[in-house]
Amino acid sequence: MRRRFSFLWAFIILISLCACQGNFGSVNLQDAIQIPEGGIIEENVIRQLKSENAIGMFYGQSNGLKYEWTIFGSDIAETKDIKLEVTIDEVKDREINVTLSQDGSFGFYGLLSIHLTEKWAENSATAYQNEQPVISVSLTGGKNKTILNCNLDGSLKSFVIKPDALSEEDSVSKETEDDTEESTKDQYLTDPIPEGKPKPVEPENQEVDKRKTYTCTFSIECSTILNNLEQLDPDKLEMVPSGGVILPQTKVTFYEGESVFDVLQRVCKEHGIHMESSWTPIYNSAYIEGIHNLYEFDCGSLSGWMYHVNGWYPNYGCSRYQLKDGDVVEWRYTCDLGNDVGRGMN
Amino acid sequence: MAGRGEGADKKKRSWIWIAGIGILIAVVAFLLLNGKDSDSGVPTLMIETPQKLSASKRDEFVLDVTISDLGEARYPAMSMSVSFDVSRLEFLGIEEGNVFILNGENSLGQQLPDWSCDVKNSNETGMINIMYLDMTGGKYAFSKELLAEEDNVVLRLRFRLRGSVRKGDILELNFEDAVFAASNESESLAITTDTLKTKNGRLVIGE
Repeated sequence: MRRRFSFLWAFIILISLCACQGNFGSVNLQDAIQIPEGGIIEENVIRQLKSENAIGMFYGQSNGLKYEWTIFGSDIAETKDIKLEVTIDEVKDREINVTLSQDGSFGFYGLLSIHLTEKWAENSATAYQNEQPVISVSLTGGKNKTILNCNLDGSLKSFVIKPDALSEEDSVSKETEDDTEESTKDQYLTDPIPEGKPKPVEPENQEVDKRKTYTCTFSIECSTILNNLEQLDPDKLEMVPSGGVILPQTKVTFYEGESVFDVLQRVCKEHGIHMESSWTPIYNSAYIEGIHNLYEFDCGSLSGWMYHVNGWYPNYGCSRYQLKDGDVVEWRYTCDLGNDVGRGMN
Repeated sequence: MAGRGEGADKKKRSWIWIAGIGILIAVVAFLLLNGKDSDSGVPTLMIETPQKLSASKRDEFVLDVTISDLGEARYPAMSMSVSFDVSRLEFLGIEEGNVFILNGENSLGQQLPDWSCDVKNSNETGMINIMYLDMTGGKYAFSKELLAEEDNVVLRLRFRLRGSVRKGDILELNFEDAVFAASNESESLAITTDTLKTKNGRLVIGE
C-alpha cells in the first residue's frame, strides 16, 4: 500500500513540475510579456525567441510612461539573461532621460519604444550622452501622441533624448499652419506664380472634354545619375539606361482639361514604363515617387523626379498643371534638388 | 484483530486524504500557472508586428488584426481607425479574417462580416477607417460564442512599402479608435472606456 501511495505522490509531483515547466520553461510569445520586477528576462525566453525565430514584445512602465521592447529572434546571436527594465524621466520640457538597468551588451539589438502622451511636431530626435549625439531616434505615433523608437544593444546605459530642430521645409509649413496673418502662399503652400506662367488648376475643378484633343511632347530621362553613380543604390544600377533616356521625346495626344499627371500616367502605361505615385493632400497633387523603378533618394538624399514644361519647373504639383496644345513636358531625375537639371535658372 | 484492522483503515483513509490534497494542489498549480495572463480580462485588439521588412522589396504584405476575446454581449457593429505614414506606406485594402458573425437569429457562424473601407481616402488622409454594421439590429452580430481558442483574425490589412522607405525606418500602425458596439451601450467594448485594449503593429525596415 505504502509503495502504491509513494508512486501516486511521485506522479503528483511530476504533474506539478510539468505545470511549472509549462509556464516558466516556455512562454506564449504571441502575447506581449510584462517585464517582471527586477527587469530580468530569463535566458530560456531569449533562447525560445531565437529558436522559434519569433518576435518578442516586452512592456513596462516608468514614471507614468509606457515603454516596450521589440526583439526579433533572428537578431539574437547569443542567449543569456537580460535586463529590460528601463527608467524614464522627463528631465526638462521635451528632454527624456533614459536609463537601462542592463549592465553590458544584450548580445543583439532590440527596439525600445517609449510612448509619450503629447505630440511632437518634429520628425526625428537624437539620443545624447554627455551632450554628444550617440544614436538617432525615430519618431512614430498617431494624432495625439509620439512614440520614440531607438535601437539599443544594452551597452548604452544612460542617455537623453531631445527632438531635432525642425527642417527649414517643416518650419515653413508649421509657420504657415500657425500663421493667422495673410500669407503669400496659396492654401496648398504654393508660392506666387511667376508672371506669364500658367496658374494651377485644382484637380477637383478640372473638366476633361474628350471631344477636344491636342498634342504635346513628353520625355523621361535620368542622365544626371550617370554623373553620380557613386551615390546610386547598387541594386538600381540595372535600371539606368546607358544614355539615361527612359522615354525619348514622344508626341502624345491628350484631351482638353487633362493635367501633366493624367498624361504621365497614360504615357507610362502605353509604353510599359513603371511609375509609382502617391497623393499628397497638403499639396493637392500626386507626387511621383518612382519612374522606371528609380525612386526618390535612390541616388542620394537630394534625388528625385521633377517635371519641366516649356523651359520652366512649375512650383506646384503635376496634378495641378493643366496641359495646353504644344506643351513640351520633360520628366527629369535630379540628384541635387534640381540644381543639376537647371532648376536654379527658373 | 479488529483493532489492527481499524488502524489500517485509519491509515488508509489518511493516505487518501493526503493524496486528495496533493492532487488538488497539482490541479490548482496547473490551472494557475498555465492559465492566461491575468491582464487578459480586457479584450485586446492587436495588429500583427511582422518580421523585419526589406527596404528594397516592394511586394505586398498582409498584417492580421486579431481580437483576444469578447464580452458576453452581441456586437452588431464594429469600427476601427488606424493611422499610418502615407509617405512611406501604401494601404492596398482589407482581406477577410476568420472571425464569423452570427448567421441569422438562431444559427451560429459560417458568415463573415462585410467590412467597408475607403482605400483611396485612407491613402489621402493616412487614416484607415474600417466599419462593419449589421443593419438587422443584431442577427448578424459578433459574438464570443464564435471565437476560437486562439488566432481570432478579425480582418487583415494589406500594404506595400513605398520607394521612400529606408533601412532602419520604423513605421507604426497606430489604433486611434476601436469599438465593438453592443445594442446596450454600457456593454460595448471601446478604447475610450478602457473596455478594449489595443496593441499597435510596428514595421521595422531591415536590409
